[in-house]
Formats: sequence, C-alpha cells, structure tokens
Amino acid sequence: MRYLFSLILILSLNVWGAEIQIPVLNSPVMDEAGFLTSEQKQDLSQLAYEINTHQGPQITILTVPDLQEYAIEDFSIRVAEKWQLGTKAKDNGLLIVIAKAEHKMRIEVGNGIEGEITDYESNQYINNILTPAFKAGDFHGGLKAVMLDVAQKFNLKLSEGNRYVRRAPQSSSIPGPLKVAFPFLIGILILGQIILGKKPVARGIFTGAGMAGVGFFVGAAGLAMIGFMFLMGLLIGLIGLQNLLFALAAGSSHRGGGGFSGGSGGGSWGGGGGGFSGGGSSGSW
Amino acid sequence: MKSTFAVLLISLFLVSCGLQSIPTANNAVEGSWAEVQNQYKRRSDLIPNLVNVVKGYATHEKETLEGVIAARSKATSINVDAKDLNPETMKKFQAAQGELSQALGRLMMVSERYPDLKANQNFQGLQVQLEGTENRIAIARRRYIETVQEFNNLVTVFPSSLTNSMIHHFEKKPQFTATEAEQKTPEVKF
Repeated sequence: MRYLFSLILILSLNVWGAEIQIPVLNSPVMDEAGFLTSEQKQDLSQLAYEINTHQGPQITILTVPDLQEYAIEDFSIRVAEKWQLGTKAKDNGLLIVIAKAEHKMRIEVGNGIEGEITDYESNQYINNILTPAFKAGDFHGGLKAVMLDVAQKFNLKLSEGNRYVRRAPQSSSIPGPLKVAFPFLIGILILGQIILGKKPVARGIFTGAGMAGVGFFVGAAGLAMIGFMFLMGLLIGLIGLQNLLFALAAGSSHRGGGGFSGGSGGGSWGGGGGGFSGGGSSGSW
Repeated sequence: MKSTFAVLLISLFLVSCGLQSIPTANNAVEGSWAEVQNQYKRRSDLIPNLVNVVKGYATHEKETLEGVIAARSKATSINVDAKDLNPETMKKFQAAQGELSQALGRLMMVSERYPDLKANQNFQGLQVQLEGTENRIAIARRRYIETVQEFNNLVTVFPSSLTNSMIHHFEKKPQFTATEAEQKTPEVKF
C-alpha cells in the first residue's frame, strides 16, 4: 500500500511539474517585490476593499521578484487558480501580476467579468496606463488609475477620492464613535428607569449594568485622551469599524472580515471560489 | 474485534475502490473537453473578421488568406463528442486544429509586412483577441490533460482499476500530444 502511495505521489509530481511558489493570499495588495511604500499599499488596499464591497470585482495585485521561469500567462493563471478570486456565483476576480526581473505584467480577468473587461480593454489598460506609468516608476499611480477605471466600468459610486482614515480629525477631543454612543447610552438608561419603575429588582440590575456601561465609556474616553493612545485608539477603532461595515456589506463575497489588523488596514482578504479561464492581456515595460 | 477490523477494511475499500470517483472523474474529463472545444470554436469565430480586415490591406496574400479559410472550414467540421473520445478522433481533431494554427501563424507573419494594416485599430483589436483566445486554448488544454491524467490513473491503477473492469468498463481517455513548440514547461526542480 505504501508503494502505491509513493507511486501515485511520483505520478502526480510529474503532472504538476515544478512546484510553483505562490504566497498565501491575505491582502488585496501582495507586494512581494517591494514596488510600493506602505502608504501606497494601504491606499490601494482600501480602494480594492471599497470596490469589492460595492459589488465590484475582487481586485488583487501581486508583485513578484521573478516568475520562477514560467511564462507570465502560465504563472498568473496558476496564481488565479490557487487564490480563486471573486465569488463562486459571479466569478468576478481580477488579478494584476507584475514581475520585477522580467519587467512583465498581466491582467487576469475572471470568467464572469470577461464581458465588462474584454481582452481588448485589458490590453488598453496595459498599453495606455500601466506601461507609461511603470516606465516612469509610478507603480501606485498606474495601478490606481486602472482600478478606478474598472470601478467606473461597473458603475460603482465610490466615495470622493479615498475614503479611508489617514489621520485623526483634529477638532474633536472625544473619539467619534464614543461621541455617538455616550448620549445614546444615557438615553437608554433614563428610558429604562421609566419603564422598569415599578420593578425594583429589575431596575436595580438595569441601573447597575447601565452605570457600568457609562463608566466604561467615560473611562475609555479618558484613556483615549492620553496623547498617543488617543490617536492610535481612534485609528484602530475607525479602521476596525470600517472593516466591520465592509464585512457586513460584503456579506458572503469575502470571508470573515473579523480579523482587525490595525497596521495594514486590512481585514481578511480571501478568494471565494471564482473561476478563471485565461481572459485578460499581458505586456511589458 | 474481528468485526471492527472487517468494517474498517470494507470502508477503506469502499473509499478507494472508485465506485464513485471513477464516474466523477469521467464527468470532469467531459467538462474539460467541452471547454477545449468551446475555446477552439471561439478562435474559429474570430477568423472571418480577421480575414476581412487583412483582405482590405494585404492585397498580395491571396494564397495565405485562402489557406486560413480552408483550414478553418476543415477544423470547424471536426467536432468530437466527449463520449466519442478515443485516440483516433483525438488525432484527427488535433491535426485539424494544428493546421489552422499554422495557417493563422502564417497570416499573422505576412501581416507584419503591411504597416497600414498593423496600424488599423480593428486589426489590433482582433490581434489582441486572438492572443487571448490562444491563451484560453492553452489553459483549457492543460486542464483537460490534468483531468484525463486523474481519470486514467483511476481506471488503470489498482485498486480502483478492479472496480472499473468489474462495473464501469471505461476505456482510458486519449491525451493531447504536445508538439515541440507547445512545450513551454519549465525545468523540473526538486
């Protein structure tokens, strides 16, 4: 039996040929070759999240140091097959692969959106937007222009510019969510007193719990006001809230969304079973 | 103790016997073959437009153009149903599509000599579409090769081969034979 397994293993190795190294997908911008600064990465990530939550395609960018001796078309379809970008129902993944050593790029278009983004159109993106931008060293600008144009093709109403948190709002001393939550909590407390007026035990428990809640918020607000802590807390809170909203809005279109990682500004980003059959276009710069 | 062992043995056999996996693999082969034909058809559908555009510019290439048209009509006349897949039908199909590939290659080569044609936007669009279609064909073929490999393993390797010879009676499926030009596989690194 063991020999049989080894035989099958050897056979399957022959089928797959050389083992291709594909990174684990965890962000819309997988910058393995280091073309982008962390701010640019975050900028593109947020845009990809926003496009995806507006029912647009699941756009993911992969930059690699080299293609491991594969042709770019071969390389990118294998990445697409592994990551399965887009949903199973809509097959709406869009993968942009950029190889540093070979100076090659490819836009790989999911099965379900080949009508919106035809081969000709991805070729236009490469010739008219990406190639000139990459030649000038502006990877961020080129990629962003393409993403915005894709969003336009799907008639997505995106927020003006980039709707993500770059810095904390200066005027407010109490973080936004707390500002809203605090009066709300007080209101509930008062309402509870009125409704439960004739039930002393229930009222006692309610008031206790309510006061604890208020205490928590006051404490949190106080804590948050301490300089650096305040800024960090606000930033993480807002990013977390935004991720949560995205996750809720996206529904099943991408998994989870529960993992708040403040630094990179991304929740989880995984494929949803989308299929690719080789649509798109390749180019070099 | 003995009965537990027997149950374990039987369930192990049922899992690996191929009763389900052989028909499943057969369906996968039929699906991937349909995709191969679909993508080749997509290429054929592009050709009339391409020929028309080239005709307008490349006035001295009558022979090449006729070659493409003839190869196309031959290739489209050969459709192989997934159930009729055998080495012979496969060979015919591959030969016809291969001829069309060569004729198309010649056409694209001579079109290089006509700058006006190359500048024509319609022609550029068709060229991009043709490239995309060739890529889709390559992928569909690879997926077919992979599903056939799996199917053939099931029907020829013990123990599932036993189930096949007793119950399913499937034949091995024919593979594509890659021409030298098509072999773009990278070096094998272990």
